[in-house]
Amino acid sequence: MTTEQVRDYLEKQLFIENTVVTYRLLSRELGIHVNDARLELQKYRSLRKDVHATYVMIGTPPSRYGFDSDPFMEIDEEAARRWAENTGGEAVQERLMLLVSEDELEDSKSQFYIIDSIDVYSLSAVYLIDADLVCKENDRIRELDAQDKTGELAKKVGLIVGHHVKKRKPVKRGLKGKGKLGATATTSKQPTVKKDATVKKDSTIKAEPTKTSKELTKEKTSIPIEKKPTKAGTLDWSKAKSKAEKEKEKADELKARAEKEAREAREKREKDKENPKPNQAEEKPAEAVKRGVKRKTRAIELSDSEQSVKPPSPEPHKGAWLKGRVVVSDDEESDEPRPRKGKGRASAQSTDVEELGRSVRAMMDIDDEEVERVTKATAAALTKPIPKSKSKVVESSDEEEHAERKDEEDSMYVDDEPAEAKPKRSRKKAEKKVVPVGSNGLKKKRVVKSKMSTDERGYIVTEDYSSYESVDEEEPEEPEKPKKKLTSKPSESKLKRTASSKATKAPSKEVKKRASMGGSSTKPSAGQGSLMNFFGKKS
Amino acid sequence: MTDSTHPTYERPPTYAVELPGCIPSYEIDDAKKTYKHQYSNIYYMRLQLLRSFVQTRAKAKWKDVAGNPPYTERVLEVNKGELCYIIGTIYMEMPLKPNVMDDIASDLAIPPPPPLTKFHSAEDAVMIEDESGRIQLIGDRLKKANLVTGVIVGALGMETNDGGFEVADLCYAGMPPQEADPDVPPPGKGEDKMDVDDGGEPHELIAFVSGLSLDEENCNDINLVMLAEFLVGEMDTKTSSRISRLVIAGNSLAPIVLLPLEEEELDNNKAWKNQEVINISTVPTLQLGAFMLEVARTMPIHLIPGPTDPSGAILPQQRVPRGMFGRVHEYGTFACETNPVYLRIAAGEGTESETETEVDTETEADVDGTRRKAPRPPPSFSRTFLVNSGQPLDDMYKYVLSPPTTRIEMAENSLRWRHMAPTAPDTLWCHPYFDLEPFILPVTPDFYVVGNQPEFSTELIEDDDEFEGKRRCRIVLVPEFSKTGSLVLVNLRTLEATCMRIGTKGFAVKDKKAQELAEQRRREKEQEVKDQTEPREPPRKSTQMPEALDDDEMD
Repeated sequence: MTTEQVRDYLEKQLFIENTVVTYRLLSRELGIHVNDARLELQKYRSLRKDVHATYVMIGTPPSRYGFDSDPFMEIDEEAARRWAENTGGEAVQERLMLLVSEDELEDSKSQFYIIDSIDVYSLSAVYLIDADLVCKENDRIRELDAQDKTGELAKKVGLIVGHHVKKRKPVKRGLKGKGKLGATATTSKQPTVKKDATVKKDSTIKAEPTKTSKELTKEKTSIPIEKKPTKAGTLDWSKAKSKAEKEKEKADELKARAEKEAREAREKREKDKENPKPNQAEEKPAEAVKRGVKRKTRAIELSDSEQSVKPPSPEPHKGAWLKGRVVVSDDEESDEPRPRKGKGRASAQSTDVEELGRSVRAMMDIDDEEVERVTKATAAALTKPIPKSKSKVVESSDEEEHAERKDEEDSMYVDDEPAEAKPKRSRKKAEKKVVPVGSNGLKKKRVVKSKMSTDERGYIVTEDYSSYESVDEEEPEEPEKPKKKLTSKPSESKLKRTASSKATKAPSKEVKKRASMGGSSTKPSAGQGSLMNFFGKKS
Repeated sequence: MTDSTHPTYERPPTYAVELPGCIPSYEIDDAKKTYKHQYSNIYYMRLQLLRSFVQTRAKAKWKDVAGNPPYTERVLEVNKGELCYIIGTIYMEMPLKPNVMDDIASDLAIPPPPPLTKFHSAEDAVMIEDESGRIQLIGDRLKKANLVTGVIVGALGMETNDGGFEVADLCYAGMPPQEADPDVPPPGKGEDKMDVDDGGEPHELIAFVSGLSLDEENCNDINLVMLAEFLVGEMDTKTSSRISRLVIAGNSLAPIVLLPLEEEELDNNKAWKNQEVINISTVPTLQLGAFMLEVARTMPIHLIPGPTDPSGAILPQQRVPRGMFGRVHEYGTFACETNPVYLRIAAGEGTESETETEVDTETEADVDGTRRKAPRPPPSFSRTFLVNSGQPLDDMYKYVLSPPTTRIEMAENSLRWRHMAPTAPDTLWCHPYFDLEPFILPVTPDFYVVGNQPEFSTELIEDDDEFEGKRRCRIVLVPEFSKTGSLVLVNLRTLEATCMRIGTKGFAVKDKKAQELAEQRRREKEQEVKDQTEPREPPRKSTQMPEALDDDEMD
């Protein structure tokens, strides 16, 4: 890391990106020690007079009440008096750490009796009147820190990591989960992923115009990778939903419609960001164009940064950082898990608070049962018939554990393999629309409840309806749905989704077919059959 | 420019050890989670447990008094004009003190007046009571005693003609016993890996911070960012590298504010029909989690709830679920504690007590609460901390006249009364314990740390008598970070406490905010003084008052 590169980086950040560069940001972005980062900032500052700097002064203030000029500390007469009374014994040495703007640097020296150090804290292209702006990039720093799993970056940057700090072994929770869910759950997941991939490829080859398929895959990779999409992509359930939806539909050869749907939604979203491009009936091309544009801008940025940070030094951190963006370019087909993993995680713990907040709320909205259903549905849809039925049954049998599993996931998708990410997403997507009738045989009460919720978006638990019949009476308006659900359990989630996505009957039929192929064991008699399965499995 | 050019620092390791059996746990488990008991049990237990201590001390203290005053066991059996001493519970009769009877009698339609900053007034009367009854204490001796409700005292004096008990002297239960001070090992003894340059002491420091008060607006506050930087060792590395762990003593989150529901959300929630829908911001919690994650990477954290944290309103406050802060829960060394809490921190390498063994029996949130189990050989060197988030001290402080009385004096009194929260359950809400009184101090802690105080202050209290031997305790009042930018560092070995302040200067916006804050605090202080100097109208004593108020409002 030479000063040259630092300078390029700073140039770009300060004058093009208009960010406030603190020594922390610099050290993390370039993987250098914070002390070096401070030196670099100092050097740069001495070169360019048109940037504004802030400084941190650390030292010992003269005395407790010598702080007349200190704006953030009231002079406390009472304290002063008491301290005077308790002379000697409690003469407490204080320490002061003051962030000052450049033009106050000299003045501030009067605040100290001894100044231990004065260091550059940040540089910015404009003069900052609000100190909070200095740490504007804090989220980014946290994000970068969060990606640092091995502690390599921490070491490089110069964090003092105590040896006594211990991470809890995630094994504990993982084991717990495994014990309960059994191997089936996990294995079913993995197949799911693979299938997913293969299906995608198939479809690509088959019917889809290559363009769209590419685009799709691109979306897939790009969403977790690109900065902006990341926000929404990983934790935002609604978005994840649409994507996963698409996958499935594709498998069903229904992609076109669903895609349109999803795309419309996305386009709406994107319109805010980008100029409404030719927005005609033919959505796919338009989409592609847009994507392309987006990528292009990315690419430009990329090349820019490549120039500035030219020789990609072997430092792992920086590598990762670059990769995060490079990946965007074109390895869609390879379906590489690695970059996604890194980025996905980063975004999972993403610091974009609002986004997080929203998704957290969304999560809270989701009912446990629904979540489970979704898994099942996805598993059913994406795995091959035989394994599917197995896994399904098992999964449906342990409803209670579901909440826990959800919990686990919290930690799991932070830590685990990229494979994890996909199922998670796919599971998420469906929950709102899916009516959890699939496992109704298991517990009547629950079925009843979920029935209640069918027409509305929200999910109401009404204890009053404890009987099965009452439910049927409840929904005379939509007799069709319940029936279907009852008969073809595995399909129901899909059905629901398609219905909601305004797909007509064709898709549902399709779905049914698949379902019949797959979940033969559970299908015929909804309640009793699965109940039996339940017991059988248990024993 | 390689890493080798930078001095490498290592944090001195510490670990939390399990507490001796005499120290109560403030955890309220399912068995104790009942509210059916009367609070009188607490007073009864308190008197039973502390009376003997007071009595032995009183006996020794007043044995040389002329006339060898006898101990009168029941306050109602005091004979007029006869010197004696009595032991009982103090009850402060204060016109300004909120009274539960008033609450019941008052009209709920009228919004209650804002809580007072002070109960003290000129008309206060001090009563002492035991199982038999109560008697009023009078005399100048009481003025400087700064008594509060619920303290167990012995009073030497005689009954006067008008029925009061003229106090000549008072006697308290005294500071509880303490383990002999372990010899402070010389810096870095036996730890050669601790290469200390230029003679800096590798004494372990424990950082205390309280009152982060994260809310929607301040959660990206520069002070907070700098605090994290300092703690993780990016700034002032030499000091920072000695910090072994961080204790967050309450009020990490600002009081929850309900946000107005957005249209969209209302629509979405139609399905919920008449269920109450609330909208609160998740930002502060997430930001706190992010902050703690930053710090937890480098050192263990103890998170203690405070009055504004989501942990209930009554003492002892229970742990907040550690899962709610996001990824920081991955760290076994991040522990949520009760408020108050005893911590025993040992220097050196050791296994933190949270182990997997208990995980299966405990729920997720309680994993960290296993400190008390799993016996292991006693550590070579450890210190006991008693930490609370300030409610007991804040409440006691309302009883006394200040300026003359300071918070740190009240904290000291608390130790000498052998009781952490005497005003509970009178004016301080606490759990209705039935068969124990957990706020009695079984031992003198090495550090008594009180969070959420207006300013930093510290004092070393020492005592030595024939009953309990030598004791000393470092009292530390930890100021609110959001208002003062201060954190406190205590030295595990020398018991020293220092204050570190973080601030900004020369930023228009910040400076203005700081000025406003200072102004506000000054006003508060003035108000506080005013509250006690010009006695206010006592709150409505009877049911007539509400009517009067009603009339006012009608007008």
